[in-house]
Amino acid sequence: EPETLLKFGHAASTSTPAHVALEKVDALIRENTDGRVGLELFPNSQLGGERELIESIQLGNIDMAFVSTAPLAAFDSDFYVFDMPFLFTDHAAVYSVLDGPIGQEMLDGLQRVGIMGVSYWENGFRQFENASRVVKTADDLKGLKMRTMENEVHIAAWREAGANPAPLAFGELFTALQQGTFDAMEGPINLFYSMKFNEVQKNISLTNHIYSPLVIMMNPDSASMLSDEDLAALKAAFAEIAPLQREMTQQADKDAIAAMPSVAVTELSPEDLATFSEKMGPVYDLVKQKVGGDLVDRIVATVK
Amino acid sequence: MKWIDENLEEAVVVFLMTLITGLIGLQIFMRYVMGASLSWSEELARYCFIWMSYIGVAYAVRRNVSIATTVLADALPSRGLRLAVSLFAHIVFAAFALLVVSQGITLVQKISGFGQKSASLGLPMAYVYAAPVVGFALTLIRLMQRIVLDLRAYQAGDPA
Amino acid sequence: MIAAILFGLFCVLLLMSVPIAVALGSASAIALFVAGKVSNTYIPQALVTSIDSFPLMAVPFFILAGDIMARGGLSERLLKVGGVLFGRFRGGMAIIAVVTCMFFAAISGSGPATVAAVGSILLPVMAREGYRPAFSTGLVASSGCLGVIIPPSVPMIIYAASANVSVSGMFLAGIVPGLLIAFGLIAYALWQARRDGIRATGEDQTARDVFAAIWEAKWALLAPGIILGGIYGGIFTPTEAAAVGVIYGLVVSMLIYRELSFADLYRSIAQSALTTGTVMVIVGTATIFGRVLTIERIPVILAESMTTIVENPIVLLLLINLLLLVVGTFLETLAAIIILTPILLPVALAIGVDPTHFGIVMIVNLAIGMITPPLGLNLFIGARVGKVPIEKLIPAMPPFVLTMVLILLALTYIPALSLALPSWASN
Ligand code: NA
Ligand code: NA
Repeated sequence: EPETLLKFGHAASTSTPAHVALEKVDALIRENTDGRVGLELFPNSQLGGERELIESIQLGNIDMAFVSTAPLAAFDSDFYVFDMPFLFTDHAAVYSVLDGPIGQEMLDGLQRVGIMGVSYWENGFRQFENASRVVKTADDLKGLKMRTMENEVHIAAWREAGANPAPLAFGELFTALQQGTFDAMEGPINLFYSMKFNEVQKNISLTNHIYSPLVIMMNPDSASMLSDEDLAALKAAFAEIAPLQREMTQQADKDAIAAMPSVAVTELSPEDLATFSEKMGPVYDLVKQKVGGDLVDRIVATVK
Repeated sequence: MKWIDENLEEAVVVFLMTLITGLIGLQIFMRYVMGASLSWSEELARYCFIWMSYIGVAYAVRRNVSIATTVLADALPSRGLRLAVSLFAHIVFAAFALLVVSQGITLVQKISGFGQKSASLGLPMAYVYAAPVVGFALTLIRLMQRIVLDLRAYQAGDPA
Repeated sequence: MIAAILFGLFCVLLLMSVPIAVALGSASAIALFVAGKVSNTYIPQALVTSIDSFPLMAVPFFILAGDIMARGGLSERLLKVGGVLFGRFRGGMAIIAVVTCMFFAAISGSGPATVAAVGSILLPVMAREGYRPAFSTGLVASSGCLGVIIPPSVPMIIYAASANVSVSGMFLAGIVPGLLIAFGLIAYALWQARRDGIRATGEDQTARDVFAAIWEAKWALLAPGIILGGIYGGIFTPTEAAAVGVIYGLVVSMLIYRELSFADLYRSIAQSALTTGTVMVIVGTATIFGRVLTIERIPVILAESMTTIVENPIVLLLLINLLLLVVGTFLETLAAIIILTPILLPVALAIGVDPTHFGIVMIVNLAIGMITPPLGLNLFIGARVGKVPIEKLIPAMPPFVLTMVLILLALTYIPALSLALPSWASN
């Protein structure tokens, strides 16, 4: 049993690539600190949902957590940039930002709100999913009652594109889709598969509209309890596993598509995608207002 | 002053409950009749619900309603012992309320310092976390009243 | 060690008549302080986050909808329908009692509310017709359990939130078990009424009378259809359906029946807010209690030891039932759900039990707890509205409890009774 056992909370299930990778990180940390430091994992929102986890990091009620960026933006508005639709065209573009100076700056920026940013893992590109029809262009969205995350930018973007979006608790989503209270949703494919949404949704449009990283975070006081050497070993372990975790997530998306033959997966041409991004244009201004134009412009310049 | 004593919590919870019902009704109306879902109604309703719940705690003490196991107390042979148990229960309740209020104030200050905003309306989350603070502060006052009333009833010889 | 402090303090405080919410909260606060793992800001934080949930908001609405309909003349009309349908049978009032509770249960989400609404009108009538007050009150108190088994159901909402399953799925799964328990209670009640020499008092009704009573009660009879039909027709989420139930109840009792004044409405709203406050603070403090257990890894340890000691799933389920029955005698239903779900659900999942099915088993167990002393809310309310001393009521309860326990066993070992309806609905 390590002298320091860091309580690590997250909202994903134990079968997700992120949790599996986390177990590898734990082993690596124990090995590299000669067993002085280890992680105690609390998956499945056992210590609270993502918003509560971030808050508990700030308050020091847990030591570490990973969360997706959508709830994080309410704490640090810089993270609204990840809610901008069609900002990244592929993984290479994403990593050029996250693994470069901008990504590091944003992690460091979390210090302002009492959080130590450790590393970026992958939640993945989000896709559009629905029950009734093949959606290729924004015009096809008309009249679809769509569930989005509780995030102002997401709601605004889909409203601009022509859908009828509203937030809904994730736990209610399956039945709401089953009963037809909602027709459509959006999210990463591997989550779609692991939550069995293929039983109630028939179409996936590969919109890649948003890339969402997982942000690994730590309470600054918990970090300062560790020796510099141990803290460095901890950070290195997350960085070392990051490429593997990203690969596992992308593989999980591919496996999910292969495992759902009844779901029609539609590729969208650049012209099709443009019908969405053109309509969602006003959302860029909304994000710029929240973030400050400079960061948005620099990211746009980096991914070009 | 007397009106406040008798009606404060009740008026607040009735107002909030009415507001919540109206908000959800409006949400359904907008989704079906106007075809444009509201993004903020659910969030506002939820925060009103949290406020209503914790003001409701004070209201319950005011009305002397609680869910407690009273088998042991009921079986006690003397009025004096029953009073002692009931005072003990009030004092434990008051201590817990005091803990929630004092730690809640610290929490509200921290949350307000970090500047967290609500997801849809952009409200400072500190306003939401103030709900248990205010609710349990009122509860504390109501518990004091309750203790005084119990002692008076005992002196007056009520067989309670 | 921490677990011993937690449970020990909780039990002591509970015995000393400390409100359940406060007993849970204080025990957790002291355990957290002793363990020294988290700051005490954790308590106010969890009080907010644990009830910051849209599905939970259905709770006050289902309480309010039931209250409005009870005060607004809907219950009386339902009873009249029962009278014309079953009044001519021997023991017919017993059937009426159960059937009316079923209907009211399909509007209300709470057990005690069902007992209060039906009992206050029905029990005086049953006493006039020669039913022993202890028996008729026991029957209504037991049928009141249907309030949480037939949807909508507040405990199901709480379970769904704790177990991360769908509220609407739980609701569907409760219908067949609710019907079975209703039949079981009717069967026992008819047998007992005949033994007690009760005669039929109602006259034979013409089809016209039956139709007239049904027509008179049409708005009341429609209420469950609006709530459940709205959810399963894909129009509302459960929370929205609950709010629609409130609005529907208002329209019917204020505008159509004109039996609910603004003063009544104000009292209804105040009452439902009061109940919500007492219930939600239990949700809040029970969540803290459960988190302390989680941080101390008690659910994991317990689940592992339970599954290694008892490998036979049939025996394990029996043990879980026994545990829940015992817990249900003294612990409030919602607190029991929030504390025990994280502990028992992993065990159930490990032996291949579906989480929705497990939820039904849990809720029926705890519903039985509502009619067992020492803490049985339906008993307390029944005793009050039936004007029977609680010590006279308790001896009448064993046959009712036994009936429900037998059905519970069937529900435990035949998952299809709970799951057939939801899985049929999804195809
Ligand atoms: Na019900
Ligand atoms: Na009981």
